[in-house]
Amino acid sequence: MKTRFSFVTRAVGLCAAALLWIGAGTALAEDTTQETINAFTVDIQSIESSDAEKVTTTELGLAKAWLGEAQAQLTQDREEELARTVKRIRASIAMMKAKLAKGVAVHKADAARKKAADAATALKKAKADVASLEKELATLSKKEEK
Amino acid sequence: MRSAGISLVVLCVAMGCGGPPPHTAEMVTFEDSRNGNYAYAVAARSPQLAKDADAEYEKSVKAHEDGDADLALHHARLANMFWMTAVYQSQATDAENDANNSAKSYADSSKQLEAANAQRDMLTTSVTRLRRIAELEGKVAATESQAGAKAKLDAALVAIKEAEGLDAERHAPDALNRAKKALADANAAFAAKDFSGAGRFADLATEGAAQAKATAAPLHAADEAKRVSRDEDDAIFAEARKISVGSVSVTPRGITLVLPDMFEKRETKPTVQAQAEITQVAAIAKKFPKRSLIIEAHTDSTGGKSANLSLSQARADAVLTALTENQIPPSRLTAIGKGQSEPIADNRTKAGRAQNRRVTVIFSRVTE
Repeated sequence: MKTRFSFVTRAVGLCAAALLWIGAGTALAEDTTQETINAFTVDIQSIESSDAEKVTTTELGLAKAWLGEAQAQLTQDREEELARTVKRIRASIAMMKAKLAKGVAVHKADAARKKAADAATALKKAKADVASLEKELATLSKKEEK
Repeated sequence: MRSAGISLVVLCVAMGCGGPPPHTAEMVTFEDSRNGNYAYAVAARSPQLAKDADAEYEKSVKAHEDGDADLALHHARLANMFWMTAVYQSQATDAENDANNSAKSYADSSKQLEAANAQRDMLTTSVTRLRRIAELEGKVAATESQAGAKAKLDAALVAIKEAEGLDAERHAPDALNRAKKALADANAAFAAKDFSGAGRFADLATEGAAQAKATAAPLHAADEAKRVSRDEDDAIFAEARKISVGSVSVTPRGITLVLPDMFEKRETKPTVQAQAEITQVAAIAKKFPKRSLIIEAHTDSTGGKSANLSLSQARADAVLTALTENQIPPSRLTAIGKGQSEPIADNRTKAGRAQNRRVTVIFSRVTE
């Protein structure tokens, strides 16, 4: 009896534990996905605020739409679609960040190019001044020798 | 015709000659970009993203061929996003390289600019110094030029005054007017600070004045001699009139003094009174040493002509001797006996004969 009780008790306990584990696992998965969506939301807001020149407007619109879809898919447990949507949002955020980074780099390059061009212009003028002064100096020196 | 066309389409569909469906816009976008000129560099720089994009594209094609449009769109979008991420990263790398090159170029230019500016500063200092020297030299030259022009103007003015002093207005009016015009031009140029021009005009004025002087000088000298002679005539005339006896007149030959009754009848020795008159004449002759004296003795008609001529010559010689004794050099004296040939009154009367017996002393003009 003691043994049978122990077996039943043990089996029931195991089942309960299994059920608890499964339930906890599902809840854990949902929590993680929501956190991901939240993180995406933060990323997208960050991109939007830093995009002063509005170069990612189209991509942002699509990503926001996908965020809405993901939230709905999460609520409705449409896991397969949710996985695809999350993947697209992640790829979109990476792309927008790359686009913004490129913009920053291009701006820096433009500024550096302009700075270099200005310096080249100033150098050209200074060389012209030097040439002109050398010529005048030669003329004045000749006069002084006379 | 229309039914024939529809039949051809139906036949093609029945025979399966339609092939795979055309790729979607997303797929074509990916294909164009993936096969573009820039793709090689992108794939080389971001191989993993390129690989992921290619994989997604393959899945998209497969889903498309399987007729799953949603899945095909999903993978095509992922393919495009992976690929564009790689493209943007590559472009950013290009921009960074560009910026680095520009920065290097800027650094090079700045370094050269620093050197060029230093050289320019140094040259500017030298040129400024030499400019200042040239400016000062110019001022000195201008001052010298001004002083030179002023000196020439003064010289021209003096020359013109000298010419005017020689009565050039009368003797050389053309040359003098030319000189005056040149002087006026010189003054105008000087006022306009054209010292070189002023100098040139002043030289012309001096030259004109010199010509005027050259022409006027001898004429003026002749005028002066005449004037002096006239003055002397006046003075001699005045002195001669002081002699109590005789008459004085101005004749073309000079100042003529007529002295009557200087000798006793048939005598060749002057009377005492006559001696005094000769002394007075000698005094005048001493005052005007350039004048020659012509002594002419005359007789009345009493006696023979020949005898009277000899007598008059003797009397003229006597007067000459008396003047010589009064320190008048013989070289200035000429004695001429005129006899009875030049009477001035009637010899038939006593008074007329007395007048005819006379000695004439002529103070002759040197320049005439």
